[in-house]
Amino acid sequence: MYWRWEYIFLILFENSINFYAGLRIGTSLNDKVKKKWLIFALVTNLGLLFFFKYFNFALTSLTPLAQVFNPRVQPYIVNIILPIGISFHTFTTLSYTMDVYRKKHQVENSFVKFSLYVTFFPLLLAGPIERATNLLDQFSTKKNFSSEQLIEGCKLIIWGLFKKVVIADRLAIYVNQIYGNPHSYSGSTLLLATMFFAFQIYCDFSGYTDIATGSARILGFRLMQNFNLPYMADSIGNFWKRWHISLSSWFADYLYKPLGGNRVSKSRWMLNIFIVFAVSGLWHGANWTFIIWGALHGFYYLLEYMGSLLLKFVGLEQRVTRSKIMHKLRIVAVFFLVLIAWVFFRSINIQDAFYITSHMFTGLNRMPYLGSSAFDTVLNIMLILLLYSIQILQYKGLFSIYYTPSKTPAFLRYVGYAILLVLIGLLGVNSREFIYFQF
Amino acid sequence: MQIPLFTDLINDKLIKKNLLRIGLFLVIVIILDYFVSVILLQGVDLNYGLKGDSDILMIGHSHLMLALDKELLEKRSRLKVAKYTREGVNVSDRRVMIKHYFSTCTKKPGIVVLSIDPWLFSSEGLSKNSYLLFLPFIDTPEVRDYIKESVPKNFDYLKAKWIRCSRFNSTLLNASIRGYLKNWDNLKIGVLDTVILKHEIANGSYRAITFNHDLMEDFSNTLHFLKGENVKVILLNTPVFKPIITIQDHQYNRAMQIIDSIAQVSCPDASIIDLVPLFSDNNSLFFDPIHLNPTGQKVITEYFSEVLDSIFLK
Repeated sequence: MYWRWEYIFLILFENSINFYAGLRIGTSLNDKVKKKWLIFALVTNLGLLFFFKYFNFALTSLTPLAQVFNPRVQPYIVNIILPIGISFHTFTTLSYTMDVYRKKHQVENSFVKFSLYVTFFPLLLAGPIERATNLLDQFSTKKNFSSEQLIEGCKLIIWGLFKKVVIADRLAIYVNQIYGNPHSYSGSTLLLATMFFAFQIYCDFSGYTDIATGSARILGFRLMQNFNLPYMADSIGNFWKRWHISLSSWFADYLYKPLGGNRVSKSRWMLNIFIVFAVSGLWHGANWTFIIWGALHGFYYLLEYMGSLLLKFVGLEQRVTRSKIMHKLRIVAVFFLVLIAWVFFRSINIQDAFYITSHMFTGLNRMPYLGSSAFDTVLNIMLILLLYSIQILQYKGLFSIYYTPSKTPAFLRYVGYAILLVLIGLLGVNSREFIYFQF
Repeated sequence: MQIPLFTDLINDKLIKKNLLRIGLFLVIVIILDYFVSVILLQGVDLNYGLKGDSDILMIGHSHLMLALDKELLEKRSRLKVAKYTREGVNVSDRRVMIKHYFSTCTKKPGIVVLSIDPWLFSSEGLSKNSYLLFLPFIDTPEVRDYIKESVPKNFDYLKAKWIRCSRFNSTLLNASIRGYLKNWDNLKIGVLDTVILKHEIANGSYRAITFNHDLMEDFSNTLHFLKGENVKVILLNTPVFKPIITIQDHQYNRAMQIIDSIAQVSCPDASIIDLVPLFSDNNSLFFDPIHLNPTGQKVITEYFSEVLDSIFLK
């Protein structure tokens, strides 16, 4: 996955299609014409996304099927370079067109403003997937530099950088080593590596989002919150309200609801849930590992739903939902369920993923491999604990990174941010690419 | 004419208050950066025995670090030992380390134990960023010049110069903590898997012994410097797993001959102690092909302290 200057024309093309389709939808009084332009925009955008991201995957997946009819069929791969951030800007442009069609947003008459909205640099590579309702209108108001915004933005950037270069990139060293050759390691090592990956991906992606949000804030823009302490979720449904919020809400609005949402029969609703989660997995990458990751979350979601029905049936629902101990236990349980799903997300192939999931809870009495430097591994664990401590403070409302005021005294907060900066200087490792750039 | 940013700054009602906040924050960062770096440096100095008055100075890379037990050697020899050893340091690094030590110590050591190995002149496989380990000492002139020569970008030098905490990394943090804890233990617990290793070596998976003239010159300069300082020099070749030597026996002998001939010219009084023939057969001493485990370290240290005694008796 690389960038090529020629791909600027791809974004321009997508922008033009959606801008023009939006104009035609917004100005036409004929519903059929509106629908025609919506379908045109959908087919063009999703067609481009399919070609660049899924074409080779489709070819290789269909090869075994073709070989049933003709054994001489050979696997064929087209040399395509995946444009960086294509899934993000395709979904951003599509949300605008669909919002105009649904009359949730008025048509934008300025191509420049529309293009600014789609290609706004902090969001272009890895989101959040902003909606026209939140961001597009912000380009219509004059932006003034303000010292208050500068401070707010810098706070977010420091926090994001800390998560990225101090936590995510350090954890990546261990995770890459273990996931590169999982068959050589014990169950306890696989479990430790998967736990590290859970925090690596969280810190990597939420770190990017914070840097993007902070950069936008300095320029006077307010972006939507993309993460809200996901590992504090006490249910899978709750997890998806806290993890990659811009994507999950996109799927809820533009896929789940058009499929009928929950206003259909129970069996159809269950199928809808499963489809949405599987597609969300596919959105992340053209690999069966991502589809299984998404489907697994769908399975968890449905399992949770049936569990809540069972509790209601036996009359224990109130007791379970109100109990503080049960709440904490649910947080731990959700974390482990998400952890198992992360194995599929991170593994190179399905075979590795199944090997890891079937071995990661075995041989736990053995000391895990502590990497080429045991000190670094222990340091990683301490950094995760530090992250968790800060998150608990956030969870309890004592400390705020985002726009809401903090209860912690200002001086302590300054010292906190100064410590983060010093830790970035001290423990930050040479930054790797953000994981979500590949999507 | 109105300049947008300038006008915004003038109209910003909170600008004074916020500039004060930013100023206060920067002061906190600078103070914290300074004190954290001073505390870490103190620990690193304690670990390496810098700014001290040791009788024996050990200079070398991870081979020597894991081969000699500082505390045991001090107990056996009743001499104070400074163990200035780091992972991945090449001949040039070791020269800088010696000069650095001599420029900061309060009393010159009587003996310098300099690590040698058959790969001493092999330029392949050396870490290109071993200068990072010197960053905490950037204020020392000998080290500063070396860092300036080694950094790939001038920005890296300036960053280390102005952001003091960026001079450290997790390896140096570890060294600093160990310095405060006075812990020099060899933590490479375990024994190498000889079956797998022999198979890997047979398949060509080993570091080849090669010869680079610049590194030979560096080594010669190092010995010349030590001769000028009038100290007893011991060149110590610590044991390595025998199969990685026997597979390149000819190069090994050549490397040892070159070391000997350079030593005879640049520092004729230097003693060369080659522990490879004595201990390389004993697999239970090794953690991996080139590093000793705690058992190996104990055996080698005890042997070396006897050698030291014999040198002194002479």
